[in-house]
Amino acid sequence: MSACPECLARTALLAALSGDVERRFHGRRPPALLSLDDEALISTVRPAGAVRRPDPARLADAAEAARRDHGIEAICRHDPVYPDRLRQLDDPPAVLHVRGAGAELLRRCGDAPGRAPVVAIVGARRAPDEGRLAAARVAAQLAACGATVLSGMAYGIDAAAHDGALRIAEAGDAPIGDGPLTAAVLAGGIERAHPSGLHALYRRILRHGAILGELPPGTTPRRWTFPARNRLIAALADGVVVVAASQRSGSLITAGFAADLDRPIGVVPGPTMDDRYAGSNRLLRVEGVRPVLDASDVGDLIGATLDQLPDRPPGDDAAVASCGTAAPAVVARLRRGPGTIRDLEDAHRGPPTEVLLAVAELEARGVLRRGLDGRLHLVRPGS
Amino acid sequence: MLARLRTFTIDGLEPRAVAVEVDVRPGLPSFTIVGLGDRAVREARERVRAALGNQGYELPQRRITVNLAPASLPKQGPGFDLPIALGLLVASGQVPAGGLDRVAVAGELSLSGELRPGRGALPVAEGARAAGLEAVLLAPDQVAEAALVPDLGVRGARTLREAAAALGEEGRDDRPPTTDADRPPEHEGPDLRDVRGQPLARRALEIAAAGQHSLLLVGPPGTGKTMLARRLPGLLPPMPTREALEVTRIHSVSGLRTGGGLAVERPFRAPHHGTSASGLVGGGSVPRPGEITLAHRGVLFLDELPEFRRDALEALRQPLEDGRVTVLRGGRRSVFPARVLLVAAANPCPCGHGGTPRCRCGDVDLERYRRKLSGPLLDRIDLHVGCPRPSAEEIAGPAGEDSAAVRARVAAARRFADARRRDRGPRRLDADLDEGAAGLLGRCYARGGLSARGRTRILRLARTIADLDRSLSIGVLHLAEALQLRQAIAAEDEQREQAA
Repeated sequence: MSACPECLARTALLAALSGDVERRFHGRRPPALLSLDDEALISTVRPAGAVRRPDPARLADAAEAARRDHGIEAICRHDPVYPDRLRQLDDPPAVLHVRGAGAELLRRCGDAPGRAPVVAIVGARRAPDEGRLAAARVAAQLAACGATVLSGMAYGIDAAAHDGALRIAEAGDAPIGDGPLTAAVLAGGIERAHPSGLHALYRRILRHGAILGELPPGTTPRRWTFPARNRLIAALADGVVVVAASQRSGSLITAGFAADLDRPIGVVPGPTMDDRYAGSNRLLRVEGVRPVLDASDVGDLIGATLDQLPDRPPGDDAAVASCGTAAPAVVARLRRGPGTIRDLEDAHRGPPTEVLLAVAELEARGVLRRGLDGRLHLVRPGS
Repeated sequence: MLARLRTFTIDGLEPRAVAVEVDVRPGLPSFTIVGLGDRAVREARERVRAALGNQGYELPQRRITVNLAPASLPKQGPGFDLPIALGLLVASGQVPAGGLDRVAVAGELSLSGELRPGRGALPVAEGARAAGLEAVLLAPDQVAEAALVPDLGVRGARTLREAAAALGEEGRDDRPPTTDADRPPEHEGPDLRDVRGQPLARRALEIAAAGQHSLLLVGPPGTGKTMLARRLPGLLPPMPTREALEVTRIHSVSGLRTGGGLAVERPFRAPHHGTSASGLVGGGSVPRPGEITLAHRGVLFLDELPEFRRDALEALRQPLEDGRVTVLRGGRRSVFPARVLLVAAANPCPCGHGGTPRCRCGDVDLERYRRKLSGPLLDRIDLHVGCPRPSAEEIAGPAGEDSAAVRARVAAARRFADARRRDRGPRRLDADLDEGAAGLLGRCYARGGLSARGRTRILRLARTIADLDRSLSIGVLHLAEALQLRQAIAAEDEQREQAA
């Protein structure tokens, strides 16, 4: 795995011009911008000023330093590992930076027979709890079948999807040699987490999966780099599942890229009266977009058969049942959204002490947790 | 001629004996006060001058020197007016010198020569008794408070002239026939009956009162967090006389009460979130007790906990642990008692509407708020309960249980706990767990949901809940309830840091 000097220079140029793109186009990227060649790109983005071209030797040193310090590999479009499907883009990235099980992930994105699929799960940052649970559940089911859950490590749905897959990876303690169960594509340099609040999630993904990005280490994410990142998610995945997107959500951009690339699109439906689902629900009207209720729908969507792998832990139903007579009722109630212990007692219709016991056991097993306001949230949705 | 009177100044909360020496001798007319007095002491000159004239006495046209001994002890307050005036009268021969060395004198004078109510009557009387004096001479409003000290003559005087007369009246005692200490303590504060809904918070208050556990209330504005906290002092058992005396002394010195005898109500203090560190724990060039000491034996309520200054909360940590505050200022050291039940309140999110559809906070805002909330004080808080908006039925529904019923259960639980400790001696709380409870606690701990400190805290909470249930062993239900009410924010943060 390596990157040739020309491709490294191209990536360095993008990083150098990143701020100019932001200022000149007010955070929006003209559609064909990244497909321009170097000279055209410079004259478009910085017509007046000159750009100092970095020394190729220095770039190679920087790439070497990133590998040494952070374990970040640079893989350019001339490398055999570089996935062919990225070339379907009008503006494929010159270099992919990967960290963790990146090579394994890229191999999965190839066309080897019998490979496990890569499924993107994307959605809004300010997502309702039910949406997060749905994303985590589909992600966990996919991971239990050995598929890779690809997302953008944003707050909300993205984080929930990574988390769902990570719970399977962490529970199974499976080696990632046969492929990471989750991978995140970041909008800036991948040597650190952004948003920085998701640092803990970043570490977990790194331990059990892969982190990748187009821009070289140290690059600050800009507004325009997020949709640019979304094109990579769409291109790398076998299919895209959208969960809880409002009408202005960036995940609809991902869905748009997926449509352009003929990737199948699925949507986890939400309440029709809730604005926070309006964007994703509307996608269902588009021809070819299919509703996704669980992982088997995803399998149908991408034309793969998904079977529960023998070494993956099954769903949480058995665990829930062992948490007391009221536990199933408690979990069923919390799937509809967070609630107080009073709400749970109403849902159970049995002695309140049973609810108390079930909640204690479920919390002890990490199935639910109490929020700041004292309401109980489901952490693991069960299968 | 020289006159010498006894009085006391307050150093922190302690009385310190001061001798007021007045010397009147021939020379150019002058009036000087020496002996490390503050401004109020220096200004006594003008008050004494006017009071003497208005009471029909004469200021001798001679060289007057007043010394407050010991000269190294800083003295403050207007309480030296009366001893200085009386000393002048004795030294100039206008009043006979009887009883001077057997009576402690303290009081502030108005220009007309009337005695004004002042602070610190109780410590002055305590100082007089400890010094073996016969009586204390004070303003009439202070008599009831000074009378809390037994075996001491208490004399009240309305004016300087009455005070001059009372000085020589050996054996006079204005002590009221029965003191307030005999009155059965009555609870008059706000009642829990007024709070609608909030069953979980009510239960948490009861547990907090029974086991002296600190409490965090989280809920949107207007759901009754402050109302609930205000009702906590009324759930605690009445103060025994010893504690009531401590509270009276503190409040007397701080000027929160003047006269009125023994404090009956447990204090409730709710400092504003802008309060400085020294405002909370005490301080100043002359060390004064802070809010935590004013709340001694009662409740300290910190509303809007995340808004408090970090250094102020940091300063509260040690006193909460120790039950007292040590203030070091200018080489002087004061120790104030600070045994409080801490109640903190916070909104669930920056906008305050967390958990309702009105909340528009994103994950980033929530994360930042959470970090702010889990500041320096949170690991001192045992209980954490949400206060959701009460439902329409709860608002319209019948009134809740009243404070008296809860207070009775709290008192019973405390008695049960005392008896349990007495009968069984010191033993580890783990030994009280029954089989089911031990299993549940083990599972919580093994999964990493509990830190070692959190585990101890849970045990203490569960023990209190079992005491309320008058059960010698801690059952699985007691433990389950404790887990439901525990404060886990601090622990969760620790875990996240470990995971990262």
